[in-house]
Amino acid sequence: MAKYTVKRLLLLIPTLLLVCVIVFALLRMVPGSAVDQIMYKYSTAGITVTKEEVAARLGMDKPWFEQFGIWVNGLLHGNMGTSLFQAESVGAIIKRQLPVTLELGVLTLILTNLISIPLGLYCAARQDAISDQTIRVISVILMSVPVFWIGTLVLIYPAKWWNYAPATMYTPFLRDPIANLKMFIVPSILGAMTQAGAQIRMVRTMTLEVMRQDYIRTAWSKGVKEKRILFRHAFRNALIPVITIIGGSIAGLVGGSVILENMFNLPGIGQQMVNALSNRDYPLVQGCVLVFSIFVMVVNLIVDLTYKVIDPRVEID
Amino acid sequence: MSEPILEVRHLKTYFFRDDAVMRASDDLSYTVHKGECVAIVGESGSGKSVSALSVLRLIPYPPGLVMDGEILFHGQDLLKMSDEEMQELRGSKISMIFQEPSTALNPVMTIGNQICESLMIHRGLKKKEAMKEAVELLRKVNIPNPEQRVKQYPFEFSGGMQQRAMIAMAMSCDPEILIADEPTTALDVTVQAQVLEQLNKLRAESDTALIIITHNLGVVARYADSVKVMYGGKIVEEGNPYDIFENPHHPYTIGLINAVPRLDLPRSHGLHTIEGEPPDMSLIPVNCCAFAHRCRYATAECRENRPPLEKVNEGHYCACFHMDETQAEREALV
Repeated sequence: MAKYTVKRLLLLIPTLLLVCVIVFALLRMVPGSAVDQIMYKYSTAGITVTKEEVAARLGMDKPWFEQFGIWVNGLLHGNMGTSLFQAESVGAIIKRQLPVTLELGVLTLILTNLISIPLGLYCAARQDAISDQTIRVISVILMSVPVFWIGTLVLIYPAKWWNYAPATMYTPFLRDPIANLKMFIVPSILGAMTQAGAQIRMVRTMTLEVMRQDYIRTAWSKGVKEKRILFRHAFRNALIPVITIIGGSIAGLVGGSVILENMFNLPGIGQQMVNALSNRDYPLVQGCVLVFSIFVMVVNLIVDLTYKVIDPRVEID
Repeated sequence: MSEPILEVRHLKTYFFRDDAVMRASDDLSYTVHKGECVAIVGESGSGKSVSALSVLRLIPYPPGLVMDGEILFHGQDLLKMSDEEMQELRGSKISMIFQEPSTALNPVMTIGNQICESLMIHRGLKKKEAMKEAVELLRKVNIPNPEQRVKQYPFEFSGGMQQRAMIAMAMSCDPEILIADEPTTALDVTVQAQVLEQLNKLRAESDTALIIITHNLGVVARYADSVKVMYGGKIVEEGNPYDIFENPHHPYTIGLINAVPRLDLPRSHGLHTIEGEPPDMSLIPVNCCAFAHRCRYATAECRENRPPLEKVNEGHYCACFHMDETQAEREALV
């Protein structure tokens, strides 16, 4: 397994190089460039500059392959460049804001599973009972309610009724965990609710599928109690497809948190990236995409390794 | 004969499909005595497995449901027991071996853990003691290197070893009754004999009653003390192996025995088959002989009345209105 892990990590290098090429090319295919943006900003401030001057200052007068070379060379030296609009290095921005997004993502993930796994198992055990039907209806509702709508309700009504609003000042976790969690708990519950809807149904379906298997009948014939059958015999077998879903959703959590970060005033990377994109802040977008790609690939690796841990039959390599 | 430990009386297990009712076991009665080996034979879909699963109350509902009848274990009706009492009984007093060992074992649990489970539940052993016992059990069923094998997963075992591990699991609490549902059907012919020998040896050692469900008449001839021939959810003939093989009375039993290739008869004897198809049990009327539409002796009586089990000899019963005719014909042949 260690050998496999190393192999997969080494495979990251060519993949990342490919990601670099693609993101660099795609960004430059988008109409409008950073030069236009900057010229527009100058002109509204009443300063006239020529296009060539701006391009020369940004280093964008050089041919594209040279620009690409400079960027990749910087990456190899651990330098992701400087933001075109903020007087800060891309590295510093990501380092400051990525942890916020990651924390929101991880909390959402934990809550999603805390909600969906017990409820999914419960539904499977009580298939077609009223409790099962109710939970299934609720999960469909959770799946279909947009997060911005419920987020707005959560921001407005508690404030109106009980004068309660979620904290809006960001405190790093290490400085004050309680204050930090106070801020994160509401958005992560909201994020978890939308995720959990689909996942409850997934866990339920998979567990039901497993409960029909012969080895479950064997377990009954040994006199094993229902709870143990569910947790020891059925759940582990149902976990493999569930893990795949969880792996997929982690990638989505990182990208899809823009709305929540915005509503709850969390200084995450999601918002930063949207702004950078509309400004054509090339180095910042490139840096963010690169870091996200690494994250997604590492998550995929972890998911693959988890398969092996859960199911001894899985052959990796 | 020793005391009866299991009496199944008028058992009716029905399966409900969309609009049809399948009477998988229809007014089935039989008795199992202490230490006895009872064989239930019949073709696929004759209700053999259902009758066995009903005893442990493992019929999946929906679609299956035990409608009526009694299953007396030491005089106590299993069908009236609470789920908790039933759980106590399963695996400790009555245990079961299934047809396909590769799917009947949990793929993500080690063999050792799976054997330990019953020991921990029913004999209250601690994990460590249970594991030691599991090693001994595997040794008993002739699995080499049991110390290493307990830590392995089912997929690392061959089919025969998986089935022997199943046997070890089922026998772990010295049950009074062991139900083996086609224990060798999924196995290689060479392994079948080993597994059966193993089963029989353990049974003899612990004085466990064995209900063996099979369509292999060779198995029956060799191990059974008593044979029940099932057709269409009912027992059509029962008796000891001698009665069934040498003196069969029911046309279905006769057909079944003729369908077995025999080395001791001349080739010109040929291989016989039973005409027609196994019945769709939802279509057979309640009051008729289930075999009537495939039977060349069948008369109007057979289609309107259900033949009761009638005594042929001591311990030999047959449910057929035309026993005399089948007998006359057999005697003429001999």
